[in-house]
Amino acid sequence: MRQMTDKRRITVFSTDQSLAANLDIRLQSRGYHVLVHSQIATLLGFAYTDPPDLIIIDLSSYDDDIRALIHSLKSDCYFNAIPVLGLVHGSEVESFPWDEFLLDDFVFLPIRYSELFTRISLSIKRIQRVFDNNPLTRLPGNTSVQNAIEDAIGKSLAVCYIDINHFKPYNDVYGFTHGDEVLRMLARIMFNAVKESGGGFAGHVGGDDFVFVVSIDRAESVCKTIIKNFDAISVDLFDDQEKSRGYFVSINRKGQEEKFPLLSIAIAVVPTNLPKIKHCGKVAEVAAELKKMAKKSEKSSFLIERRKQ
Amino acid sequence: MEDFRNDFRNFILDTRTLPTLPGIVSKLNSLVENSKSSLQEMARLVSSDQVISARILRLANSPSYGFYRVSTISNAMILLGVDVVKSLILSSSIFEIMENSILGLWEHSLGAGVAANIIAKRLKLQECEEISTAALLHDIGKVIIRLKLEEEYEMLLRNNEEKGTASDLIERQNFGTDHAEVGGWLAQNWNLPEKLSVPIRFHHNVDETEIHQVKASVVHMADVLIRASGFSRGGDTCVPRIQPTAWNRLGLNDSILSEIVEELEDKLVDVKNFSMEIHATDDRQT
Amino acid sequence: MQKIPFSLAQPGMILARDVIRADKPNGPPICGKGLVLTESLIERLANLEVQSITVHGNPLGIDGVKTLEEDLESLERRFRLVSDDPLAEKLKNVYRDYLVRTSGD
Repeated sequence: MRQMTDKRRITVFSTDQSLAANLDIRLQSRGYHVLVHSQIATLLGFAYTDPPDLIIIDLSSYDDDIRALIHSLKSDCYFNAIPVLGLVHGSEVESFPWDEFLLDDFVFLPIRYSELFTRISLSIKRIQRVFDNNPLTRLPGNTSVQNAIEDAIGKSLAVCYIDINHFKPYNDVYGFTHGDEVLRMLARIMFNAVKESGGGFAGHVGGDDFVFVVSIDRAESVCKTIIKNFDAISVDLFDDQEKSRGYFVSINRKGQEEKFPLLSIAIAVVPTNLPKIKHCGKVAEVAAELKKMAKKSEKSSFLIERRKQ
Repeated sequence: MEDFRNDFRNFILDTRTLPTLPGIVSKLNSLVENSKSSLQEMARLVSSDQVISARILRLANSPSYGFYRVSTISNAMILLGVDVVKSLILSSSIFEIMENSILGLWEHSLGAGVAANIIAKRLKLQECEEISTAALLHDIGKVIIRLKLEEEYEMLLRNNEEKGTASDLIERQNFGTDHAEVGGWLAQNWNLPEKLSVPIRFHHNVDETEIHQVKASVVHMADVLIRASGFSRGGDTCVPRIQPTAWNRLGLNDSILSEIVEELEDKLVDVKNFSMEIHATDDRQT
Repeated sequence: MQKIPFSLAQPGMILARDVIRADKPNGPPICGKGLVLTESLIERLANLEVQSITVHGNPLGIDGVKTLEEDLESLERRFRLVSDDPLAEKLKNVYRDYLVRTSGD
């Protein structure tokens, strides 16, 4: 992880060389580490490889590529916490299509630097304050999960609960650093699968409990993708010996040594348009029953609630 | 000499991206622009290019994600997701001037990846995909040296073509380090797992590693086999000595070798055709 | 003989090896060696998603047509620096056998 003593890093995008050079010098004088880009493709590549603390984008002229760039950053939960600050001509304040650009803040051109510096530090502080996502996986946390489930009730959606089988004994043997890595991996696999299926909600309740919400007709295929990808990734977390014999050894609840199968996941899928699903609590209750059944399998599996009553 | 070593190390610290062939980048770009392309299709093409593979593995192992042990392209792509992979591909840079030696290096790396996969599968080793990836990346240090020294390195190698001296020897004589060490530094600096960095670092001296020696041995043999088959143009054309440790560690013998060669030569036809396709794209662009 | 990508298949080419389905490498061959390719056969193989075929001759002409002698000569050239290495010698012999075995059409 980056050292706390490091300078805050700001990425600047502008095709106007003199503006970019000015920003570079002024921001550096304020103790920021600055990286200037004039090409969208390189900016996004670098932002992903080495995420900055804030991005300043010159919007004095803009096109679909810039729109798409901001959109792709803001639609990925790993990067949407990076504040994006737009530079817009004062004369365009009425006509600028604010809704199309997912900006966190803006500053008028020509720049008043005292204003820019204040907005930068406020943006960084604000994002830290409102960012209630799970710090480990950066997925939306419990409150957002509850809201997503409540919103889903009565619609043709499915609330899907995931947890990892035998996660506790895994954590006990391999330590929490490795355990945390597994959680991050599952989070990312779930997030990508939901996004690539056409969108939906992906959240982290806590521990090894995750929830995603997608439309009913896509639920099954998203479950299959998540299971396929989790199984591909998780097998590599074990060494050759464990892989070939198919289990790992840990201590069970009674304090005795026990063989546990390699990691797998269980997913309980609750359609929210069933007549009996009237409130959030019922969703969780049905999911808990389903999960008990899904967990009987030693392999990753999913179960969809079909009972109407 | 020590200066050169430090130069390379500092150069690696400053290196944010590495260039690759225009042909492979334009092929990838057209795949990316087609919204129907699947992650599997992209993974196949990415796995043919050492530079883009290394960048994808670097990103998946970067601290911002918090995974520590992503050692295969397919796993890296699953974790990063289509959109991130696409934007990484779109931010690829290419070699400004295409020399034959660059294409040769690219072909050699691709061929070594294929050869390592055949060896690993024939010997029923674990982690075949990791081994092929390590072989694909084994000469990545040459890309760094090429990038840093440009013409100078090119000249050195060209002057030695006739004599056939191995490139790692020339590098050590002139820079006090070689592409294996430089590649190892890069792999470490980019947080690639040891399964990959160790075979890259020790493919010319498998004796010197205590861990992942089998993987390093396969990479060494893959390197030798591709040279023996005369597969790639430019660069090292002579077969290097086979390290006895690698031979013994893998338990090789004539009949196993013969089966491996048979299968390799068969696969290399496809690889050659693919390479010609990429090369044709390059010609059209330049 | 030469293995070529299926997209380059032409009527008149003669199969030098059995064609096997890529998705069933251990399954029975779809057509046997010695068969002369025709338009309709090519179409049928395309429908089965055949990726590559091995045909007689050297239709792609990569590096021109090389004789066995030329191939063996360049093999010797590649191995010239390791003539004292018994393991490299083994590998060279394996390659020589391979070249001899596959040279005859």
